[in-house]
Amino acid sequence: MEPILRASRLRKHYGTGTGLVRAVDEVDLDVASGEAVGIIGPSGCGKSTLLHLLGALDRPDGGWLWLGGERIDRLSETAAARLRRRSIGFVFQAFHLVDELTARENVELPALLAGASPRAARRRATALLERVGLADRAGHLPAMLSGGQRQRVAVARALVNDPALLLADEPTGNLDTAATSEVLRLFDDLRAEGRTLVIVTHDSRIAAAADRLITMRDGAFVDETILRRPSGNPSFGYAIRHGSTDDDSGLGSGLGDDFGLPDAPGLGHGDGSGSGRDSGFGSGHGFGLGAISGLV
Amino acid sequence: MQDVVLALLAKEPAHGYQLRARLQEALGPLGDGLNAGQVYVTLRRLEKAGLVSARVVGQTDRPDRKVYELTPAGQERVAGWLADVDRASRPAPTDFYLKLVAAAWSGLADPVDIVDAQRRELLRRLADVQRAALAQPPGSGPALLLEGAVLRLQADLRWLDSCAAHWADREK
Repeated sequence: MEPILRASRLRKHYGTGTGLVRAVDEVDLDVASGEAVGIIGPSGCGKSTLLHLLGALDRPDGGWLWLGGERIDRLSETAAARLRRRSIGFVFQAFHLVDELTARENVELPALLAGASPRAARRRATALLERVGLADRAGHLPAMLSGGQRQRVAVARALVNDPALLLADEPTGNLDTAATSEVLRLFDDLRAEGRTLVIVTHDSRIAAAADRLITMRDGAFVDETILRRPSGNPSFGYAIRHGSTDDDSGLGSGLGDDFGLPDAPGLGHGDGSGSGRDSGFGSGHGFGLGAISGLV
Repeated sequence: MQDVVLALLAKEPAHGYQLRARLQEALGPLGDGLNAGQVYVTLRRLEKAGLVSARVVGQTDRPDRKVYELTPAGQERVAGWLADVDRASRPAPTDFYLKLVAAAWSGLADPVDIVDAQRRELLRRLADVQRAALAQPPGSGPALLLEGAVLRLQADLRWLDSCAAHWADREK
């Protein structure tokens, strides 16, 4: 299946000589429609720069980038802005809501900018605020909302033009544990609905909501962990393109054919090779109370 | 302990005294309780199990002492131990740390690769527990209980990041 997002040898460097920073260094990435991908790694590893490139917020120095089959690595400013409005939703760490506008008006704004009628924008904003559980806060200004609520408004705003791709940069970075749970629940729902997501984060909780996790170090992908089959793609086959990415533990991270896992929660993942392992809660196991009790 | 001692012998043969010094250096204050006897008892057990062999080296001004080295069986066991991902519900930090130390010292495995493998394991576990937590109604008792497991796994994962950074810096 053709990926919805494809990056090939994507590159972004800053500085020169000894000050050269290879923020993104020849990165290859395929994201299937309906897949939720998390990119994790230490700060400064280049993950935010990569997200900016993927979202056409910044231009790569080299490489190729396609969204829905369309080349997007050499767009003009105007074309990039149009693409972002039409096809890409963004969620940022600092929410970036307009303080003077109510929650509903914030959500409406990108729809209006994309040419929707005020009535259609209103209808979509109302539906999305309900979707993120904030129907009763529609008339509130951001200052009257908690951090978790603000981020949920930002997610509703990111979805208002029904983008092909939702990008999130540290969406829980400014949130406490309880608010993180709210946002986590929302992202998990979006994943289950088959939204295509790319989440850049150092928060392992939000990362664990992804289908697939990529570890980035010094501008390059160095590791990959498959957490579950993407909900949007029952027939999706994994093609891992990086040499060091497969898991040699035999626990079902990786190649398509050992991936017969059902998506239902409570069934764990893996290929069954883990059965009979120690008392812990190895990924190859089924998922039961015994498994959890080792951890609590 | 047995595995750590074996791995420390992988690079070169050593006296018990040298092994103890190396362990104490790695453990800092946590190694204060480590007495010489423990290392020698471990070495004797390993010798009995055929994993190390000892030869006596004569010294002129001091009593003779034993130099230990790995047997082929011992080498195999070290390789297996370094490749094995800890699947205990909560890996003991000291054991894991000593594995990284031993991997780096022996040169038999890249500590960063060991960290990556352990991270994959913990991330899968985190995803499992979190899925279970999300299936509970928010604010329920079971959700709270599972949140504890989530937060502990998160702490372990954060420490793994520190481990990766530590050894990645050394490799540069």
